[in-house]
Amino acid sequence: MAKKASNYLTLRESRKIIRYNLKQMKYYEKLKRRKRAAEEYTTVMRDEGNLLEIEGLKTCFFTDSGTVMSVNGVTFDVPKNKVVGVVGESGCGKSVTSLSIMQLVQAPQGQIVDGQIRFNSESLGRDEEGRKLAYDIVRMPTQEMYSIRGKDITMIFQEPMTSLNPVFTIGSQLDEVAFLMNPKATKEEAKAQSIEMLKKVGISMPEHTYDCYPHELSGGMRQRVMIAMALAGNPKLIIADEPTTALDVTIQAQILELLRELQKSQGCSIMLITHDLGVIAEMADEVVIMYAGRVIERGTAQEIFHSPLHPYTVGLQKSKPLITSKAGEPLYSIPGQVPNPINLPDTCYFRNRCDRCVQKCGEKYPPDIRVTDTHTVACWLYGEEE
Amino acid sequence: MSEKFENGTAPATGEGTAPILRVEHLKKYFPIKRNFFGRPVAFLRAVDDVSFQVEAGSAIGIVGESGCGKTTLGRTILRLYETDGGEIVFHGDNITKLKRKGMQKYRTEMQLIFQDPYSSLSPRMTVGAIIAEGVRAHHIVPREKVHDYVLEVMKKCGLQPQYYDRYPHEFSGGQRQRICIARALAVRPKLVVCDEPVSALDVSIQAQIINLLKELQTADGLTYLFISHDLSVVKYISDQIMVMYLGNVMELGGTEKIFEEPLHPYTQALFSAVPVPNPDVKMNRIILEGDIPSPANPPAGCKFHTRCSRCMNACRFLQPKYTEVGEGHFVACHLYDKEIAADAERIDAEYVEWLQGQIAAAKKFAQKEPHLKELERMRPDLYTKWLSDALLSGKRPLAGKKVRAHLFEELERMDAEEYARVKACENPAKGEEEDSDA
Repeated sequence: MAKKASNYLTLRESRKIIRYNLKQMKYYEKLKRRKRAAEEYTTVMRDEGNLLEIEGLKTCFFTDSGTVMSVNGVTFDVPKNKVVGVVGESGCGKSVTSLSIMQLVQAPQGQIVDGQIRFNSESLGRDEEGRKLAYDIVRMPTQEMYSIRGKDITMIFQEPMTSLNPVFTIGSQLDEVAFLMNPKATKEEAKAQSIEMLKKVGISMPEHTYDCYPHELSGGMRQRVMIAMALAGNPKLIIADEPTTALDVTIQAQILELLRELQKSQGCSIMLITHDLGVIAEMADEVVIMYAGRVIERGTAQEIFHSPLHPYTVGLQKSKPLITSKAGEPLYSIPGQVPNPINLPDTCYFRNRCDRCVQKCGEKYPPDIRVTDTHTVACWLYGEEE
Repeated sequence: MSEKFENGTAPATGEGTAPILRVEHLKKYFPIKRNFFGRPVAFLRAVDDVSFQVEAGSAIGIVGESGCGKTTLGRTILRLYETDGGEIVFHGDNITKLKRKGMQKYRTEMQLIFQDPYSSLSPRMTVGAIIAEGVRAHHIVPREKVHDYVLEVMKKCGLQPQYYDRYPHEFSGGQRQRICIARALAVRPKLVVCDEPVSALDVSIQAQIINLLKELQTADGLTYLFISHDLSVVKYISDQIMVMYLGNVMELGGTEKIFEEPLHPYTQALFSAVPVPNPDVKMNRIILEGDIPSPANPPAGCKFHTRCSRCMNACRFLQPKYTEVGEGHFVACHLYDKEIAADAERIDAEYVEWLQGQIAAAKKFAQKEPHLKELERMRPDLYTKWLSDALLSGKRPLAGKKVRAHLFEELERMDAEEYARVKACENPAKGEEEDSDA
């Protein structure tokens, strides 16, 4: 084959990329290590009813084949006591967004380069003008982050087997969390608290499970243990990153039910990341649809499911086979595939797969267009520049 | 050579309307424990007495949770595992006992598409070589025409000709799955076993692959055995659905019929657990309690009875029979068995008898344990009640050492306080015993 594919790099190009990456990584690491005063990482909330506000977040990875903008200017809010669902295909940056909130992006190749994540912490008061102060997680030093991570913001990961340590019992791993919350606790107190947590997530024999190793439990039980760990510190925000993807449908139903009950009883917010629209419809109050690192549409669950606007959202919903639908007619499918995330042009990323493309789509990336108070969409079909 | 020829002529005489695949009472047991001489003594019944048939050109969907034996079933039908009983009849020929050489002919007729397109393609072979391998090995087309034939197959599966010389790592999941499909179809199979072909893919790519599979089915008259845990996908592609649970078939019937009116409580629960992408639909969901029991130690009677909301006495000790409730609609549940309903009294009596036997056996074993012996002496009423409850909790006690641990666990769970009190009372007695022994 004489024709060379475009994704091959010459030696010179690749050397150039590596040199650039080193420079960038050094710069951002230095920025991170710099001593910061408390004023630098406290800001004010735009709306007090929100628990978390993400604005213009950009996270990129400096890879050997170029800079990948995994999260490219993401903006959305998580209100208090609400479930926000983030939907998207693999590689659209939904997991990286959540890791950015936790400051857990794989450094040094992954760096948050821009934007703000404002976390409405109760430990902060108000400023002179009476506005609610908030932490800016992007600029927060790691040392300070320890006071939030695992306590106010916790995370439930996708695969419980890989996130539990196989060489320690469930009990010792749960006690660790208990000690983190209360360093002065005695062993007995920690155990009592751990067993209390296990009871709360509906494990039938908590005393027995306490002494089990992770491999002795089934997938659903492991995920319950993960949820118990996440709940130990009475968190304000739980980030659930595909909590049910590795589970069977009947177990999935149990876990979703549990999450919903706990959310109501604990009064916390959940950011639910999944690719399953069914799970989102079931759980979420607000929905954020992501595509190639950008938020393309967000609104309440009713708006997104009953009047989807962006062609991608429409296509995604049409392409999912339903058990209630009639079989027979071919399924709608979005042609093509997700674009290569390296060096994306500043046009709509969905342009090549879109069937309602207009001329403007090739010119500039569309801004967020506000359709109703809660519903925004990034598509040229729905309005001119403001 | 002569054998191959003979086999080649056999299916030509096969009748047109007969099912392409008939499976009868198929069993596959995996040994999990061997005795001193290496003879297996305990089995994991991965596939236990499964029967069904598929018409040529149709598709059967096999659904179930993980560990229910659906993948094992697919592989056993392809003779990748040796069977432990039952028959596989393909095109009117019994292939259950065929040797390696005899199977050779049928290998081209049955193909497999794997779940994970990332690990099922050799990273050191180009796409062309991957697809051509089977074509060359089975002499599907003359040697000089292989290249053109491979390109034709690739085109059919939506792969562009310039991909011929590329390696699998250069492709995304959806494209790789197309390569897998092309590889399977290149040898012109009649039956394709699709083992979760779309569960590793994104929703928008899933739809492309499902449509491709459907198109190929109508174009080439393929028969699919479609294994999946995703009910909505199965509904889309199959004409018949078989619901499996712990190696047994729970329900088998036409897709429309099963979705309209699921009969087995497990099927009902499974269908209601699928989330519907509509925020206004609030389904009255049946949420199953607990997890799937371990397939190494399944419950007695109906395997589903530990999680079933409509469990009766008969379910606890009698294995349900297949009942034909409608045309081609089979269900294995005592609720639909008229004999059981008619003979309720007799069944109840038998059940009591069975339970007494179980308790007696457990007691006999418990005699070896001083704790339990003491417990029986002190509180015989409580002891019997606990034992029967422990037996009915679903986890059938294992033989040997495990039964003790299991009984303790169950007893403790049921009434922790009472148990602790009894245990505390007996401790001094036990101490004395030990002293006297010394």
